[in-house]
Amino acid sequence: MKTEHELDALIVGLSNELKPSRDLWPELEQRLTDRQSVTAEVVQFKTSRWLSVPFASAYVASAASVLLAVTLFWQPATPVQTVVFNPQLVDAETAIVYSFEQAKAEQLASMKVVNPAYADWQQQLAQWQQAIGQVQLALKYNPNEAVLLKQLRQLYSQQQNYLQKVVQSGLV
Amino acid sequence: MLRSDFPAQSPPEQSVRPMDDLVSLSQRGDRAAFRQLYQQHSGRVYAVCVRLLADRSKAEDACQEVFVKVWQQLTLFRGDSSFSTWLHSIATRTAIDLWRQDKLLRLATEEMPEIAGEELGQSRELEQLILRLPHQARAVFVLFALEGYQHQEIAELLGIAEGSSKSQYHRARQLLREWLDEN
Repeated sequence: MKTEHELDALIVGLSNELKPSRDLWPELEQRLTDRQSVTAEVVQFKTSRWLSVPFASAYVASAASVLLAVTLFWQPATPVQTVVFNPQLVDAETAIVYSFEQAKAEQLASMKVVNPAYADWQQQLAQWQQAIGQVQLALKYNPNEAVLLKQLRQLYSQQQNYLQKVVQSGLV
Repeated sequence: MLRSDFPAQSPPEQSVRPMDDLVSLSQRGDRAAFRQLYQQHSGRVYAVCVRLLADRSKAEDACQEVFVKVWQQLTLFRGDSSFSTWLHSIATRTAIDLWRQDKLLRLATEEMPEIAGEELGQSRELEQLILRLPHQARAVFVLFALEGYQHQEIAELLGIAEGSSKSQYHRARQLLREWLDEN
């Protein structure tokens, strides 16, 4: 049996940081609520008497004229930039799919030889993909449904675990 | 002990800003600054989550949960302690809350944890064995040996007696020594 000293030496060697298997930021950013908008709501609530009916038509008219002016005279100051992935602009489902698909692409790229025990890995992957497709279909009817999003994450995570085993089988 | 040792790694592609600047910008709602804080600290937060929960998916959820809480509570941070200490305290408490919920679920499933080797860094073997430890022994071991908490603090955090914390810690060490020999 290892001595206490040997175990202590191994414990000291443990890293205090571990890297998640995929980029969690896109999903995380989805969940960050805008603190300024919360503040704005409070301010709006406090000044709600100014939203009474007599003022409403004046507000609508002002907003409409500003919108018209912007539509007529606004032109982009800079050339249109290349579209990049911005988690703030996508829904939770897209963020999940994006981060897992990115991790999957990296796993597939690192795959060299596959152990014969995992010869049917592509069929296995396809089955998970089919299940993922079913959940995505359900999400079309119930967008942002928390349970479905959780299922989607779980299926991707299972697929990722399996793929990791396949990749490692070729490295042994 | 790793508790006080909380290194900040700067992301390679972005300019390095002092931590205080990042915290202050994030407090004003600057998501780019908060992203840098996330990049600097996510490894440390994920480590405590994955070691306590022994499940990648749950650890990823927990890690996100921690940073959502940090974002929400950041305006309350006054700098009485360092940001790292404050963040790590939220991380540990969040992971322990999920560990408690997990404890009930695991009684029904008793699944073996599944973590990919690459995530576990260089000391892969010991990391895998820690994940194999019984639920409570693992939590005590992680909090005492890796996070630097005292048995009295662990007892309060986990809702167990101080004596149980000590005995679970010794049990964990005993199991790890045995398993390391088998491998």
